[in-house]
Amino acid sequence: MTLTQPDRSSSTLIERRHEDTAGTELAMLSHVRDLRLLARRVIQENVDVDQTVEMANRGDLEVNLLALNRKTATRLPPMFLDLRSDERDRFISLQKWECYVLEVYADSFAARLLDLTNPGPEEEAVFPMRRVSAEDRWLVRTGAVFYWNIGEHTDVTGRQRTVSELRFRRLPALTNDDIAAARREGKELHDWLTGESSKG
Amino acid sequence: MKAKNSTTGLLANQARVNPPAADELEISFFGPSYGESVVLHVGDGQWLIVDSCLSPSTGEPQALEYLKAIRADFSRIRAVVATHWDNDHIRGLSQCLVAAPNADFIISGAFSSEDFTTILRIYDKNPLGVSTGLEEIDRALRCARTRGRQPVLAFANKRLLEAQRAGQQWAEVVALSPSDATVLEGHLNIGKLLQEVAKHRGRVTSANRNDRSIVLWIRLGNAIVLLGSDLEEAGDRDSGWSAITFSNIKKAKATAFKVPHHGSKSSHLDEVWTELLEPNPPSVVTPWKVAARSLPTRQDVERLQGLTDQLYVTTIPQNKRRPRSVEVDQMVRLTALDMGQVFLTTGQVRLRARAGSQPARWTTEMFNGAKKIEGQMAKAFFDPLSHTNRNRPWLPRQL
Amino acid sequence: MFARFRPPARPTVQVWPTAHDACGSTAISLDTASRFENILHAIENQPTSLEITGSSLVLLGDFNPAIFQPHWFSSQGLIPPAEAREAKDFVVHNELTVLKLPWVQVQVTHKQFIASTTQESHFEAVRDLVISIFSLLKHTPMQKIGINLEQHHRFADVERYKEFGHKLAPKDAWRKTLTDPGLVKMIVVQNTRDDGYRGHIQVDLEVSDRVRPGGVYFRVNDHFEWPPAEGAPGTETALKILSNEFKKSLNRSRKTIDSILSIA
Repeated sequence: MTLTQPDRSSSTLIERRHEDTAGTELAMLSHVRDLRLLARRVIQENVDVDQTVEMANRGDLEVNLLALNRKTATRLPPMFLDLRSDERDRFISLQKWECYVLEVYADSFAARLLDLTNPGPEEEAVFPMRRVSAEDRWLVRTGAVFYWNIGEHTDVTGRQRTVSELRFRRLPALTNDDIAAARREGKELHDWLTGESSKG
Repeated sequence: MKAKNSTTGLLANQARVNPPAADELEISFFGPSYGESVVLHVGDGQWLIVDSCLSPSTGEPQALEYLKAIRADFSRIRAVVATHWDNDHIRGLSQCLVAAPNADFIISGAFSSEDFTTILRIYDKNPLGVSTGLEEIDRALRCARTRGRQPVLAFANKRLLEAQRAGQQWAEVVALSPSDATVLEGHLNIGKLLQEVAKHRGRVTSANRNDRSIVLWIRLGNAIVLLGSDLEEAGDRDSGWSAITFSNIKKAKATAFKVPHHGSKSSHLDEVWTELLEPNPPSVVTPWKVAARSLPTRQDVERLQGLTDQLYVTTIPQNKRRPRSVEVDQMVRLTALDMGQVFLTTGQVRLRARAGSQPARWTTEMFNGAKKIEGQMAKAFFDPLSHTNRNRPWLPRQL
Repeated sequence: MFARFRPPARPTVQVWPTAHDACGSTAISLDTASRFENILHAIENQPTSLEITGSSLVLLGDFNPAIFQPHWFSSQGLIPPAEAREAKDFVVHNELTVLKLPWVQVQVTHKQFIASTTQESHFEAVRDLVISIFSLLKHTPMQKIGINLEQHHRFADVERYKEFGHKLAPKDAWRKTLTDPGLVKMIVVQNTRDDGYRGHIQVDLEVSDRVRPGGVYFRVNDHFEWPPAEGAPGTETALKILSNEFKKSLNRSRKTIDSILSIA
């Protein structure tokens, strides 16, 4: 059977429902003419989310809905993401590494690289500090994890550029509760390790 | 790499898989340029694995790959030792322990800190999604716990293992470090590390881990080897190599040596060569490479050549670029100051000596690119003072 | 694997000599160069090319949309302050929040939290953002999480495009009653997981309405769910899945798509 383009005026465009789905599928690359218009309609005009779905079904909105479970549809709003302008703002990786900082020098830092695109032996590189944005400099420390991506970026005008980018991970510091919980389990492990737990 | 079709390659391979005699002490050193592992036969088919690195060709722990090749009985692996927790010394360590059902897990006494076990639990309960550098230790501890075998903590002058033959002590393994002062300081440092880990959520940093390394003195009959791990020297009598040379407890001098910390100057102490070693011992260096730097340096090799004429290296580090598309290569050159792939090998230096030979006579074999350092070969090693490297301002002058 | 590369415009192979250093480095061997040529040749002769890719994380639970203002993200250190200041496309309301940053879109309703990106360079950053958010909001009840990968591929050759559809769904049976039938969409589900979690994996394949002509769209929904544990909101499970399974999930999804495309 050949693959054919669907008739966009057909009502079957929206009919993608699966009884067993839990709704974690996503119409991520959908067509939304105006997100603000839609949001305003939902919020200010008190349009019920189900009504919004119906409007989409009638073609009033070009919303590409996927896999709404009928049973939970009343609780699940339509998934409308991506402004139309985002359709063309994209990045496809040609090469991606997961890296961690080995050493920090005056104006540069050395890192170990793990190739995520074509896994193989690890590599190392030295980067000048200017490759890191000023707001991210404080993240550059021994052990810090970052990603290095080289790929093609397509902007809203359709222009393509090859881009190289370093992005440091941002994770929140652990809370006192987290540390306390780890301490409790750590003590238990420590007592076993040192034989304390077997003493009377 | 092994020659596949040459007669000499076949002969070398046959020699490599020839197991040691029951009364032979064997030490096999593996050092692929990043990572290190030492496999020891301590008599009567009993083995010890000290540290672990991965085979570049199979991804398996190098120690297990070798032991399989010589058809060793894994149930007679007596212990798996983590001399310290630098990433390059523990890759595949937990696999080694899992494969050795009767082995003890031996770790530095500096691990006996509640802060350290708390760090392990922090990473367990708050995973990073990337390697933390501690998974191997965590997995090995879990394995030991499942087996109901409490790990053995190594402290200075503690006998870790011994073996008897005809009612006599025949083999022993003794830790010469970490010293009490090092353990205490280690606990304080780990406390600071815990605060960093909680705040910054990255991989564990080095934080003086080398101080807490276990140096092993291993004897089988008259054959004695000293494994220097990564212990460095700080000029302090209570820590590093000075703590060993100044110790009141003296062991017999070793006749073979694993040079500590990849031959670095920071791990050198003259007294080690005069008080702990017989003159001119066969000495093995496992190299190390990170970014544009590597150990041993040319100067290190020249220094070691002055101390022994039986100097061996498991491989000579090389710098290679992994081929990629033109676009990617161009962007790499525009982004990074320097980049290279560590060219890993399966280089092996193997020493064997009969327990009863007096003095101990070592036979040395080299496989898969390992070399004996002679003459002007020091020039093949990284020289931080060379003209090329002077143009790399990010390179620290002292290693 | 090769389907993900764009063929280079000029298939030259440039072998970079390694910089001479005292380690005795050697130039890349000719054998390596010829293997590299083979790789390029294989890339150029792939029937499809990846045109658009994106990833999303969808969490189902009970959320408070009003929290997720740009300022909140920067005050918690989750994004640089400049990104928060520059954010202009956002709607924040008790019922619905939609926030668009250069690299991620976040949409939150009472029942759903969705973070997505069309920039492959930021797949991990989106995951980190979600981990960070729910490390801070660790009492948020949640029961399900989906790690989704979407790709649009273009067939360069129309005959191969038709042949691909025919291989997926042979038309002989359909021709008995329909004239010139065409495949529009296909869904395949693996109803159980083999990694110890509950959930399923669903693969949707359909004609792309973004890449025309000759475009095929894939979506792999890697769905995890867990029973509510007593007293526990479920965040810990979600964070563990994101930390431990994200990379594996995307790799598996890519392999799945590549495997289907390989029949072309």
